Amino acid sequence: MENGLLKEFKLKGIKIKVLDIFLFLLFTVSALMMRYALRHVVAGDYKMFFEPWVATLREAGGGIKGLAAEFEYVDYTTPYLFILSCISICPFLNTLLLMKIVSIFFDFVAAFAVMAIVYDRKKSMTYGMIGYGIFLMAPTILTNGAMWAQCDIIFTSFVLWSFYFLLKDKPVPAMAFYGVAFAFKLQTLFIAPLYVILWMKGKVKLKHFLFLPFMYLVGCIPSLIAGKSLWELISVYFFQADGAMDIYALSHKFPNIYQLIGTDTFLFEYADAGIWLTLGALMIFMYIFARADYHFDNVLMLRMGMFFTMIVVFFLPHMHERYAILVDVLAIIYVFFDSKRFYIPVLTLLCSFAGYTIYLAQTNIVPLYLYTIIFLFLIVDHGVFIYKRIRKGEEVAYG
Amino acid sequence: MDKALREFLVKEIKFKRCSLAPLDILLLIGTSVAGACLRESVVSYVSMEGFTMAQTAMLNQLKLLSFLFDTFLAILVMDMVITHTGNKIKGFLAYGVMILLPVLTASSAMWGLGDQVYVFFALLAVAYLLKGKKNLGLISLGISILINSNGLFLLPVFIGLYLKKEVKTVSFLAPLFGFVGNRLLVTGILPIKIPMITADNLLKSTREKALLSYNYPNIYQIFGTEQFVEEYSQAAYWFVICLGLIMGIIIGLSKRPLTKERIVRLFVLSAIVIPYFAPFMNERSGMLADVTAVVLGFFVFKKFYIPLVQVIISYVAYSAYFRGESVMPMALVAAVSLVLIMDLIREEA
Repeated sequence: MENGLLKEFKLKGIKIKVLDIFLFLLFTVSALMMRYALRHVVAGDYKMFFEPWVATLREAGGGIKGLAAEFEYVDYTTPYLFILSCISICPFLNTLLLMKIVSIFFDFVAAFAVMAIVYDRKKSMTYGMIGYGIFLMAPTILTNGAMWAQCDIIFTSFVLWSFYFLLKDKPVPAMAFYGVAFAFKLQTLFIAPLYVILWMKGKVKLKHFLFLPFMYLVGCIPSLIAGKSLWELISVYFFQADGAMDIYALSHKFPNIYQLIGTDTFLFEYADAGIWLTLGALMIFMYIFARADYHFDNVLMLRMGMFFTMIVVFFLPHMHERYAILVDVLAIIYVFFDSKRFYIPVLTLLCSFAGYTIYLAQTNIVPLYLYTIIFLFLIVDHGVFIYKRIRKGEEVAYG
Repeated sequence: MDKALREFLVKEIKFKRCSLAPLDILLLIGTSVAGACLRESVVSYVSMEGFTMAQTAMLNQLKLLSFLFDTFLAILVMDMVITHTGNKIKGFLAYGVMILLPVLTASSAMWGLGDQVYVFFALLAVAYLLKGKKNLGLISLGISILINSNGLFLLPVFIGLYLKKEVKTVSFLAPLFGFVGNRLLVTGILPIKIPMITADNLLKSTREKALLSYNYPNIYQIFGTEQFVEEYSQAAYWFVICLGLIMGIIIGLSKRPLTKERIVRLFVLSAIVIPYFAPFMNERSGMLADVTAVVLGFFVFKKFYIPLVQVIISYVAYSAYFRGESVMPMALVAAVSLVLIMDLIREEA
């Protein structure tokens, strides 16, 4: 039996054990069953936003025709609206389930990216499968799509594939995937400072950044065919950046700085100030990382990715519960690069899931300011690690 | 093209006395613009209402003065960091951090009470001391105390230096005159209007009742701010005087060399400890500790957590005033401040 499980064979040059196939099947079935258990949950966002949007798309004819619909308010770009529009005329299942299925599909797209990254790091498919399994079981990944019917995993999966190619030193596909992610969600920009540093360190070229507007424009094609004006399609992100729909709280159950100083006062003043503070903080950190002379490796890249994203969501106003999803997934990957610091994914997911719980279960057992303190600790931990690495190439033990 | 652009960004360009890379200039301009916009975002806030037109105009002018001194403070910290670490990149970063520091931003653009002025002179005193110009340092401290008695928070370190025979007795006339002058100005015996003192008096007049601590996270937040106000405050004044003297004597008797890092660390300790026990401290009483802690963070990177925690503590106190209540229990914040004090003392032990 033992020998059978450990029996190896090669598939396109990759060594795979029978155990790996067993793990793949086990994790896939378990992940699907976990998601199946959550299928009936209807979150407030679905009732308030998604259901009316899908109805509007359906009324306009669905598919490409549906994209001509006029919305009172919508903050999604064409690619996801197109998915919703196709869902609106799908004769099978109900809208909620179809939306969840789309997100679950991308859960797996992202999980395969994690598997590929971990395999590349460990050169062992067993570890790759463990990465795949851990990712699919992570509470925020599980609930984001399967329970909440949110689609954050779509852009996240493309960012993960971008990371996969970055780690393999292939900037063209990396930036192409990053561009696709950008076409889906503005939150992709949370990690943009890392890509600027990658440019400063010669890992990507300036021309590769053209993938962002290019992919965005490609994503707009269905809406352009439907008759929408280009300006209307481009302005979606300006509207989002304005935060007009979220002004009623400085933080939407996300454990950031506003949980320490209050989320319900100085709504306009702190909202503007928060943006400037974020920009200022990013300037300072980008300056430090760009000015120093150091060897840029994969561990540093992951740490910087998490650090920049955390800085942005910590200071920016109007952050939602789900906005640290990029940090969650990078933290899961990170543990395979530096297993001693397993506390990073544990604490990151704990902080992130706190907001999910408050939204979905409408309960708040531990005050959010305590999660904020943990989140701040993580930021400091990343900052110290990076600083030590870039300061005269000081070595930090990891493994 | 990529390589040429990257090299241009970090290429040092020589000016008269120094050399700067375009990236340095970008940082200085970028953080200055972000700092100005940050203040512009919150400047509409009025910390006190119900005053005459003249008083309101004075408060608005004070906001402008405060912003000016924010910039002076940032430049002073940059100069201190460059002088004492010899690292200009650290200096530019210190400028960026100072100009964006939330406590300074809120203090100038929201409170607008001109606290930056006394903090600037107090920090100038530290800068002079580090440069070996001790008498000028005490004169600067005297000016600081004249404007706001919170400048006294730094006095214990100077007492320690006096016992080490680093400072002459006569030099203490400056802080003494400063203190006497401050009392005469605050009580109105001297009929000279200093806008910062007038504004502080106006704020005091808006307080509904006397409390041992006005949202400042100190010992009274743990044991109660409303009981035994008269008794505890009198006792606390004597306690603080003795504490300051003890601190000074310990510094004076200590055989450890007075390095620049140690001097700054002692100033931070003094600026946190004294208001921790002093009565009637208000929300802004941690400002001197905030600024000196930032300097310490840039002198000794290992200690960067001290400014981080101190600034958060201070801003929690600010927001308690702005919001009318604190999000976090003040006793908890005061406990964190106590841990910070213990950590600083541990370094000295």
